[in-house]
Amino acid sequence: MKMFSEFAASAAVIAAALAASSAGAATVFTGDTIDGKRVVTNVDLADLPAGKHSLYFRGIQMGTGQYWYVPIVIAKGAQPGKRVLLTAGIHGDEISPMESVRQVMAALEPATMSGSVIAAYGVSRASIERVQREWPTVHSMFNLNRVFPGNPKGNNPAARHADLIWKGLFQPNTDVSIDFHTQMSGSSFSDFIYADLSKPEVKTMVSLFPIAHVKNDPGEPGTLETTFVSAGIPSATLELGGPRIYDKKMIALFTEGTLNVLKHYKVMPGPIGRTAKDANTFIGEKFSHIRTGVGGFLDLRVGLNDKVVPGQVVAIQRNAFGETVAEHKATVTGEVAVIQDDAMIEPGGRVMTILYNGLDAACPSGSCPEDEPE
Amino acid sequence: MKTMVRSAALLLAALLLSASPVTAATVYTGDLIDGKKVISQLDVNDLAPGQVHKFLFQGVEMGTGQHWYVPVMVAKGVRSGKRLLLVSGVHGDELTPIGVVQKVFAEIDPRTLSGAVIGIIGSSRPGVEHTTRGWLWMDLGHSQINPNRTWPGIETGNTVQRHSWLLMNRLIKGNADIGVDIHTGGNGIDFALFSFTDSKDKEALQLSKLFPIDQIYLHQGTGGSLASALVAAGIPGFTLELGGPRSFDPEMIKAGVIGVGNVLSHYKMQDRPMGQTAMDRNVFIGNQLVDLFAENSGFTEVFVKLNETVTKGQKVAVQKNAFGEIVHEYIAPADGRVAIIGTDAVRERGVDVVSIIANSDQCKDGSCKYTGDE
Repeated sequence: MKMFSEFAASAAVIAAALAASSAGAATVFTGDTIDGKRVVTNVDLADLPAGKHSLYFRGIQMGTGQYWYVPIVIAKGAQPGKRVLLTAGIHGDEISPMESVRQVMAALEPATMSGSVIAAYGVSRASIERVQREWPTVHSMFNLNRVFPGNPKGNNPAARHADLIWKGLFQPNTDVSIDFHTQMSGSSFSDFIYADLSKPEVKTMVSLFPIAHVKNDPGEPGTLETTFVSAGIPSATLELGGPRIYDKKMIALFTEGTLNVLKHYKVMPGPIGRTAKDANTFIGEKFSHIRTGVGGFLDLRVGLNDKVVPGQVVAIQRNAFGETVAEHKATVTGEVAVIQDDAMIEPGGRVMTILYNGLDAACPSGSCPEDEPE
Repeated sequence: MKTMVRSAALLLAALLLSASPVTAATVYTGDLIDGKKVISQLDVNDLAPGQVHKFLFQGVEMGTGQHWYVPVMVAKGVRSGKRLLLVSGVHGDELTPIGVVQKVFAEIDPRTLSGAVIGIIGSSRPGVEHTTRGWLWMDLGHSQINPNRTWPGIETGNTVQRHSWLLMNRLIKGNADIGVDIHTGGNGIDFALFSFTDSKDKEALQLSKLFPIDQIYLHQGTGGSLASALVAAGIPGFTLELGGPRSFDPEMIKAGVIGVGNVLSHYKMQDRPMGQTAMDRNVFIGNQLVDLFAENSGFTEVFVKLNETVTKGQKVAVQKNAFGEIVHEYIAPADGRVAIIGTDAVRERGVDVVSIIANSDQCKDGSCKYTGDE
């Protein structure tokens, strides 16, 4: 028994090694299977036949030496074309993205496709099992979406995991990237996209989503989006509302937008659905974060997507006795893009974020400091 | 490549079917991980004699549906004999036990063995990966379940109960004749060379005495512990405690390995001389574990060392507040020996400061139950 399986395993390794030596980068099957699915450490779309492929991408090791495996699904079309990467779960508490990507993949028929779509589900393996934003280590936690493209000599497993999946899957196989997120536990986003609209291809892609808000910015260093954009590959960060749950409304909007992108690139056939034009998308250039200086219980007076004006009371904060300890006012004209859902808030916590354009009442000269990192 | 792996798996399945028409046969899932075969059921009888077999046992699923895999080694002897089970990592922050099992298998020669030795390396998979005593479970947020209160497990229970059930029913029962569940103190406490031994099982006491330990605590078992579940299943077994958590303690590992060697010698599993035993160390056999839990919170200085003899009325620890004022003094309530000391200087109400193994008339012949947390 042992002989047979070892023969098969070593044959797979040898075949992969031979392919690697002739083509430079090739799909590398380790010879392992998990739940019947083959394990890969490197993907070259060119190696794969047309059709749908469910694989495990071998990521970084755990402390004991066992590995984390990222489920990936590849829909490779019968005809050549754009290669689109859909990523979900780079933060572990962001679950609507998983279902939106699944619905997109379910809509694909490789026989009618030109190009490929790669879906990576739950990239931050360690944190998704804990339904928590950051990658937990024994001694600390790391934000996977600040460490791309990763570092093979990084001082934490998240940076090394990012390096493995960036080099082994993302970077060599992607012409267009869409990274699916939500707000973190305790808060919710509107239907929202972060994008660098100075890049024409990004601007076109984002205009295909029928959603409320787009923030035009160059992005944070270390995100998957900025890593792709700085490599010359269009990318956007989608925010599908709140964490932890399946939000059906959000899933539907972003699935429709993503299918529009695939149709735009002729990866799949079909008419474009609703777009930003239909949704009358508000494009903002800046964030106004309203933070609290005191602890207390939060009474929000506005909701997501509401329009606010300077001086408008947007939230009241009370202490345990019900006495008002803070009154939070908008300082800009804009729309509510993020709210804290948790009723209790600590000093320094973000009550809400207003997406806006133009001058800030708090610094009328227009010299407001740079946005704080989201 | 794919077809080769598949045909190997089919051949494997065919061989298994022909080789083992009986009920409990080793079940290979067909998966390979890091080249190691995945099993969902073990039958030691199937395994080739004179070899050490290494498997990944398919444990319970994580939240996403991927499985936790428990490394298992089996040294299969060339003649029939006792089958000894060694378990490590039921608590994930207890590393010395893993060191013991690894050392036993590094040294064992199955060609001179009668019977078998089965080693489980880190059974509480997420606990080991995060160096935590509890198994983090996602019910109602995050809660920690103590795996050593879930045995013999529940097939349709929660994640941890089911994991215990899988190990008990598909790995342990039918394969083990005797067992040792190896532990240490948890974060913040250190144990002496100590055993929890079920007084109802004479062979468990015999087994305990084969280890070079200083203290044997005879009691009526601890509900939900693996040792009690083993005894209830007719498998003489006990809980061995080897010092403190987190690190590999070479002296403690040595003691564990000597004890296992003595078991092999005693049961004639190997022709080897008997090493140091509990009897050689003037073992203290007690029937009571008197826990001195913190009566206050504060900074604690412990005056006694592990295994030190204490007398009733002796001051064993003092607790002070931030100003250095004494808030509590801890007095030995009985004659005995120190079994546990609190190593973390900050001791919160209810945590262990010192535990003393003692003898009392009420608990004669180990007639009392153990209800503590260790």
